[in-house]
Amino acid sequence: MEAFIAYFEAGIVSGAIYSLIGIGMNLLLVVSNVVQFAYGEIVVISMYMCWLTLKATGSYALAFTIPLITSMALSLLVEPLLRGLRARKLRTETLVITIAVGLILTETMAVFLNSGLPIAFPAKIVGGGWDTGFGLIRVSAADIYVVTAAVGLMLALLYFLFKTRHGKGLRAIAHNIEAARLLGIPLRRETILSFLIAGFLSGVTAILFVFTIGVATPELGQLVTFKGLAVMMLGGMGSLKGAVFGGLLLGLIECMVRGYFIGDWVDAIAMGCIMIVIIAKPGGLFGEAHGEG
Amino acid sequence: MYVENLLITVCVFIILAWACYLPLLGGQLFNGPVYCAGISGYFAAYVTKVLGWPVALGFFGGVIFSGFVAFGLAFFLAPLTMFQMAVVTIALIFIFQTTFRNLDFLGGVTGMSGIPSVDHLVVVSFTAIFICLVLLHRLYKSRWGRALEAVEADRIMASAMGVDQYRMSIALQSAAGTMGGLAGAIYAFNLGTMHPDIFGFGQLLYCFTIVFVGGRFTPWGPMLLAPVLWLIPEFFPSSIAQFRNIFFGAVVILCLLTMPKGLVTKRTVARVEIFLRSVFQRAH
Amino acid sequence: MKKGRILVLLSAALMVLTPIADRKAASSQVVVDQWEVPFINTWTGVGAGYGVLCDFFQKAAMEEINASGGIAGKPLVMQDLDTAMDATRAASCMKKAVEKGLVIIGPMTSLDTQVSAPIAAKEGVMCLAAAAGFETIKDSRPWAVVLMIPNQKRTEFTMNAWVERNPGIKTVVMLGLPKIAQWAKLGELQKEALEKRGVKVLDNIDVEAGAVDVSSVVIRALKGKPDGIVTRLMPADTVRVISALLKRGFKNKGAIFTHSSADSPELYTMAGESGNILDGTYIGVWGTTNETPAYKNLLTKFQGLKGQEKADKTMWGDLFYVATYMVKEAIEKTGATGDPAKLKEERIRIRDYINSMKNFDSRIKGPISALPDGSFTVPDYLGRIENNRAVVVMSSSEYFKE
Repeated sequence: MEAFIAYFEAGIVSGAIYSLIGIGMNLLLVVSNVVQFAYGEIVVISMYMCWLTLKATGSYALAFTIPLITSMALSLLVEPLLRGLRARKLRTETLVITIAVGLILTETMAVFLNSGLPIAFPAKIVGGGWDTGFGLIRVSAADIYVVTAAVGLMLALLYFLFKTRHGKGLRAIAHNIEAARLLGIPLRRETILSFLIAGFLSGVTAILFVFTIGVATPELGQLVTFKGLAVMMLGGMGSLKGAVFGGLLLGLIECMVRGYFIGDWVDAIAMGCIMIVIIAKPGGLFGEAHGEG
Repeated sequence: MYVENLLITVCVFIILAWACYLPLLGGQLFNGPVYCAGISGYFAAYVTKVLGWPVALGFFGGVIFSGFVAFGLAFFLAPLTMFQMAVVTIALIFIFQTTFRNLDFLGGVTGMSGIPSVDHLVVVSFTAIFICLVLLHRLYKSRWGRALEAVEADRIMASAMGVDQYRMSIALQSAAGTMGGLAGAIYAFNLGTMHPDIFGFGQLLYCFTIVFVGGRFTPWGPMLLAPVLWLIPEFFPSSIAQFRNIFFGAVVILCLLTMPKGLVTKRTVARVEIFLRSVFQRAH
Repeated sequence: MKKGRILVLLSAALMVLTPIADRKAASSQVVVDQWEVPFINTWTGVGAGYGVLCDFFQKAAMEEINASGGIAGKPLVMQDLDTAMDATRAASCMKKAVEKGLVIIGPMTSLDTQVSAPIAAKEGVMCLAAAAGFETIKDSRPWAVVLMIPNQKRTEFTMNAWVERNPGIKTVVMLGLPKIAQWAKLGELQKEALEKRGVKVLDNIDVEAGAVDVSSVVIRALKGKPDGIVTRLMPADTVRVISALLKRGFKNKGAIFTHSSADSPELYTMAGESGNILDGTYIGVWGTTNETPAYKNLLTKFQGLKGQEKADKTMWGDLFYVATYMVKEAIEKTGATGDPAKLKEERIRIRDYINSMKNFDSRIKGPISALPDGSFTVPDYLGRIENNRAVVVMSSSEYFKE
């Protein structure tokens, strides 16, 4: 029983991490119709920037600001690459461009940053500074940050999208871009805003990764993107609520499989569950928010 | 041997890219060719190395077996939309990879090596290319090809005009799976080794890069781009080799920004056809 | 008259013998201006970091060899072939290498070796896959050798020596990478060695490389309340897993053993960042206690690399340094000429020479000898980490009294 509770807790925490990734990727999908394959790489390169800043300056304040700036800047750099293709509704082509961007970012890390070797963050920040529990069950400050961030960001984004003028503008663009243009909604500005927000989310994810995982390698980017895709597929492409619940469900499934079955089957079983969900409920658990045919 | 290996590898990627391109004609993002290549490769490896079947039987057996697998799965996948099919077939790639990795009789995590070689495999590869190209070209010009174009343009309209999309999807997936199997069999006999990690997500991304940058509306684009993409790293100057993948990514982005329909479009093909016809007519 | 006959006879003898002597001299004369040896490695892709380090050691050996006169008086030049950690490209690199290569250094990774060593074997070219596991070359013997992963005997040494220092260990849980063949095999050998000693292996848990979550594997590991933990993971995952084990209540650090696959400078860098978390644990150690001038020189050069300034020993890439010197000796001792007409026979002589090497002076790892399974008697060490440094506790040579 103790082990089951411990697995459950670990599953919630890793699920919250996956939810954060899913939220960021789903936001871009909802607003800009883009599946950002380079999302994971942006998260990881932001972690590298945090590490480099910490090494160079020793300032935690600066070290935790730089990932946000890095991720937003990278996200903004990607936006113009996709603009023309999005306008022509060439969706799969945007996918290939984001794959290429991801490749460039991975190579940049592998060649230029710490000679491609893994990085590790100081022990005093990994875990958030304290933890508590008994036996196998442990809860750390980082665990609480992650779960709070996942739920909090989802609520904040939902508020932004449904209650603010800019958010309504973004939803209008996602729903019908021609009508939005006719109504005078500044398309380019709002789209840039969506990329900026997605970039901010990836920066927050990077900081939370520093607290929870504490290490990074160039390969981590692809893994993060893959998890994000899995969450999107499970929870529903473009659904923010789906990202949270899909992420939590994925985290729980993985932890339980690792705990009770052969670990090598984790990916296969997780993908199998996603496959069953898609066949039974094609829109994902929470349906497709942006309506793809 | 090196040149022969290059030619065979390029042929494998062309066939695999065509296998991914074929369902796209009908508006389907079907990733099955990748796992079908793995299935075919392992089948051919096992029956020739372990069971001692003749190489030709193993080769065609692998191709047919992968076609059957694709056909069987197609009944479940055919009703899915484009992205749903993409998702499910990505999931299947991972499932098959994990299965190969955990089956001891297929070598498990070590894979299978010592696969018998095929004499004149380069001739076999080029023959396969020629046959696939003829079939794709005939399909493109036939009423099936026009039906595919109609579905790709507007599924509902095509359905209203009587196109049976369910049967068409099954046919496309089976054909794509068989072509993927063909690529896998050639690959296995060329390399002499099969390993679970070979036909995975990375291979899928590579094939889609070939299709989308080469041009997803005609078979000529992937055919022309596959050798270029494979050969660039082979001849990249070693002094700047560490920038190779960055250069590759940048080239892909540039190509898609400037030519989003790919390097070779239908218009390009039509122009070339007109040109060749006029040359032919002048000659006669 | 008599003198005349003697003179004629002598002249005739000279005329007959001189061409024979000339032929013999000609047959041991090197015909190439330089020895171009293929080196199959990874310079791009996600494994580039390690590949670049392996390249450093290989080139260090090459420079030393050339500075001291080259191989049989001719300089050594490498034909660098990049696999980008892609199996298809690895096969392509090997097919290029076997066209003219007399002997091949590499490939680096196990997957590349599995895929391309059989090609070398089929074409009859010896390849020194220094860093691959010995089971990855079993289908390519005798045309491939490895220097890295210990075989059964050496695995028994590390397990036995560790358990002897922790007599309370009756049960163990193992954590390892599932997808790499050499480490899966290593796991089997470790399990055999432990069970032979009467230690029960409760579980052998797969830990995916770079996994986002390690909590669940750690919970599973501790569920059965094992006395000891054996890991065979990459450095980053080793630090994370051990950190999580300690946080979840596993207190006896001496009962944690890390395989030498993790023993590289970044392990200690990361462990240091994590508060010297590995202090008190045991580890299989690379490097050497045999601090020869060659090793000290190599270490100094290694410390000149960016990021390695604090390294107090080299890492497993130094096996490519050893492999380069093995190639030098093999070419010189077999009298290879580089003559394309004699390529096949010279390749065979080099193969036989390397497979029968006894007490080869590796310059940095002491004398090593070839074993029938294709591995070498590269010494293993059991180390204990103190103040974030691995201190050697015992060597395999001491243990086996070699």
